[in-house]
Amino acid sequence: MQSIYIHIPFCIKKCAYCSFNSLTDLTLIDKYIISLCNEIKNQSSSYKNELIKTIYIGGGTPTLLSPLHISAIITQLNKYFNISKDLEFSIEANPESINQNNMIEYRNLGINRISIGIQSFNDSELKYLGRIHTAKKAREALDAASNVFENINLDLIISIPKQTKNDVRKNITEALSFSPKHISCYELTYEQGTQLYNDALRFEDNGELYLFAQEKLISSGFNQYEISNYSKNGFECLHNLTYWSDESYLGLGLSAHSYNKTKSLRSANTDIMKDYLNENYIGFREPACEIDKFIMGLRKINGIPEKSISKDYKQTIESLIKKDLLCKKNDRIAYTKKGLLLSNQVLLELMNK
Amino acid sequence: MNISKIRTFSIVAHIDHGKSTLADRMLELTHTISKREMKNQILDSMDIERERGITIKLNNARMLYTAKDGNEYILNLIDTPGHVDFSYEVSRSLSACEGVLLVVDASQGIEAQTLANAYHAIDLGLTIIPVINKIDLPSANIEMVKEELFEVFGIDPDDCIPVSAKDGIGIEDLLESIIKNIPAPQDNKLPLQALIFDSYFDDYRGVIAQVRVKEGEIIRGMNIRTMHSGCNYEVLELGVKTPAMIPQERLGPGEVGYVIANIKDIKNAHAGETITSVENPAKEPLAGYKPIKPMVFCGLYPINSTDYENLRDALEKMKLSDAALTYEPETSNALGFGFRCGFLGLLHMEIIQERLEREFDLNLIATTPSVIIEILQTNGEILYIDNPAKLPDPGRIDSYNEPTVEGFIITPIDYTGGIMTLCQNRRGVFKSMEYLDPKRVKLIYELPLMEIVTDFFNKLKSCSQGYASLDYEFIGYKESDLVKMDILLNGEPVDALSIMVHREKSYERGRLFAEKLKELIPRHQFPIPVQAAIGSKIIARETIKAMRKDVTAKCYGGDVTRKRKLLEKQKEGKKRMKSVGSVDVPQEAFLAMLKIED
Repeated sequence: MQSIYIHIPFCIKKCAYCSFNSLTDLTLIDKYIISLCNEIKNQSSSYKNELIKTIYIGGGTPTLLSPLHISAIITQLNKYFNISKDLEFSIEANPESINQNNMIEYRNLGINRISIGIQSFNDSELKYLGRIHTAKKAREALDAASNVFENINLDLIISIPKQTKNDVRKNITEALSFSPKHISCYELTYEQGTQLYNDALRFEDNGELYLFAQEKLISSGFNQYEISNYSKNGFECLHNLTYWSDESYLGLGLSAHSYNKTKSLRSANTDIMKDYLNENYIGFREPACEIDKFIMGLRKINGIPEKSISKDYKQTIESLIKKDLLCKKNDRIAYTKKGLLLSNQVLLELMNK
Repeated sequence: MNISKIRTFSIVAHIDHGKSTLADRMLELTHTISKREMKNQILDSMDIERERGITIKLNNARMLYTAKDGNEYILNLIDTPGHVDFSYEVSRSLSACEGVLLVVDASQGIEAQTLANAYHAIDLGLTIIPVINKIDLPSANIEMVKEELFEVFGIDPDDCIPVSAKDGIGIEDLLESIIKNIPAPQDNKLPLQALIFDSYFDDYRGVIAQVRVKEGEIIRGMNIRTMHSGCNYEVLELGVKTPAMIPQERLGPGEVGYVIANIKDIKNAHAGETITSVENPAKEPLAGYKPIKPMVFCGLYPINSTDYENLRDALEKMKLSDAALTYEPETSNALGFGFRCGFLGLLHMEIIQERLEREFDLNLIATTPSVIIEILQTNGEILYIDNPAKLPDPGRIDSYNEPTVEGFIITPIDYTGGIMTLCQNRRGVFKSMEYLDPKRVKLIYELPLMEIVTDFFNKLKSCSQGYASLDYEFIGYKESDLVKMDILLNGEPVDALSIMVHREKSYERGRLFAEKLKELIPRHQFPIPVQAAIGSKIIARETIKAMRKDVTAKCYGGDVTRKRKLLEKQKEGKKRMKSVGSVDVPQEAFLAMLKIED
């Protein structure tokens, strides 16, 4: 186990598309940090001999926490875990909650990678998404971040209703002007329980915008190493790669997920804040499924090692290769260009093997 | 039992005109059922009946009422189903009565079924008591309805009884009028003749026949014979319904009740049968018996082919209590093993299908409804087919005859144009139009039954904002220039989608059908041509474009469970489709023909 995820489930306002666990009652933050520190301590005993190589503080909006809170978490982690000197330490941020000062403090605490939820540089798109920042604020945040961090990711969302290729082009061009090392380019998805779920405007295309963004980013010197993730050479997100490479990870905080590869066990913390604050951490445990390897692993552009795949899937995989949805390269199985766009269909066929 | 104190009647009413509520009030006022026991609309006992507000299975109730003259009377209320599919059943239950309550909604006026059933009652010589219901509604127009009743049936406006079943207004007046106007039954001292006006199957006791004794008497333990089917039985139990079953020793002339006689097959005791005594049989059965003949057919197939046996069992069970349902095994290249089922009409079909799915937990595919087509073959032989797949070689077909009905439609005049266009599109032949009152007309059309069973009723409702009503009667087979239209998916003919269609309509229907299928069948990883063909000639073509994208370009962090669950949901959706060749076809696509716009 080399990766730790920490969930900070607080936001000033929930975005219209967001299906993650987040709350807007910021008065709970102090109690939450106490409960979290306690969880860090409890969990550590099982991981005495593990060297932690990545830490990721995600949310929510972790940058809503004061540097003091972050410091408390980090101190606790250092006290109870064995942390590598070459640590990749990421924090998620939203433009409205960062400035040069708090970023410098984060950096001084050891954080060396920041991932900023920009989503768009177009105010009407930001408004549709229910974001609370403006394009102007996004630019300021990126400028400030550039002065503090070398390793910056920015998130973009495409396939917003009425969005054209030209709109996407503008967003990407502007993103590139800040020379980030990493760009996550997500498609807007409509999930049950979100404000946008019932939106009639739903955008549907044949992947034109996705392919357009892909082409644009690759031709600008980025590597696509996952369905939605692009980076400059050597700046892949190591933390996220553990999810996709079938490696163990430990999730701490409300509704955080963990995977124990040796025990073949997946688990999640409770998603009820009250329980979490009362230190009733456990949500559910379930045995890992074989299909998980494909769901996660195939997200990587270079796919999964052929030898890690059980024989039961052989026939289905052969037929998917025949259909030009999967391909074999260097003893690995990966999506073809066509298969990547139809990845859910590929997974359904693998589930039905 | 004093026969002069018996009154037996039915209620004739259009759906929603308040028949069930009126029955409830009478049961309540006569203390047959206490308010405490009262579950609304007590006579509709099936869930589907209550949900849809219709009566499917008949019931009856005996009430005791002390009239203003101080005498106690027995009032037998016999329920009638309220839908054109069941018009034969209606005529049988009317035959069991001396009178009817003709219930008309004070704001809606007479509707097509009311008209048809009231004429049945008049033909049978029954006393009509006109009842104007829902007078509590602000939109009630009692005078208008009185006028209409006079215009249509020659009913004296002074005889009309205004009531509000909902508020219990006028119910006592109604009961008094029943006693005063409906004649008592007669005892002619003849051998036993009892009319079965409905029967149903009880898992433990076999067939329970609901009867009206016309002549003679039925006694517990006696040997009876069903005159049409010619079977003998011993009466194990008989009694009256309140509507709970109350056993009695005997049922005399004029009485209404139930008979249990270890009857295993409902075919031998279905509506219209006459029961007589084995020792002293009546000379002939009561008039009006018709063997039940299904009019509408469709294929029913389990989505999951392993459910075939379960479907057979379910149909067998359903058939026990429904003499009108027929089924025989059939095989489809596309759908595998299933059954061709016969029904009285579309509603009957829908109800059976719904009950099969609900009560037996089956997932079914129904094919486009069809009718029986008469085929004159070149060798002079006549062939009847209920499924386009059974058509003989085209070289052997001389001509087709298709079942035709006379349909009458009552509608507010504003919708006449739209309805006439609809009838025209459905190959209707205009017969007549007359005013019922200044605002409403009665239209008569001759229509092919095939056109009626392909969603005519819903189309009629939608082009009249729900105001038009329809009733029809089978009038015979008429020659028709029919062709068989096949549908090809991905180049392969799908037999379950074949339909018979009139040659002149075939191009238009083919185009609409293909368009609809394109809409209903989800995109696949490859393009799917959808073609309509007559013989080898393609008359319409659409293409379902290939799905080019189904990707989740979003990150769930370490939460693989959520993504897996979403995929499982997607997989479940696929399971509800039938794989036809390489194409996954959803249930509703097999009924696409019903969903095309005229």
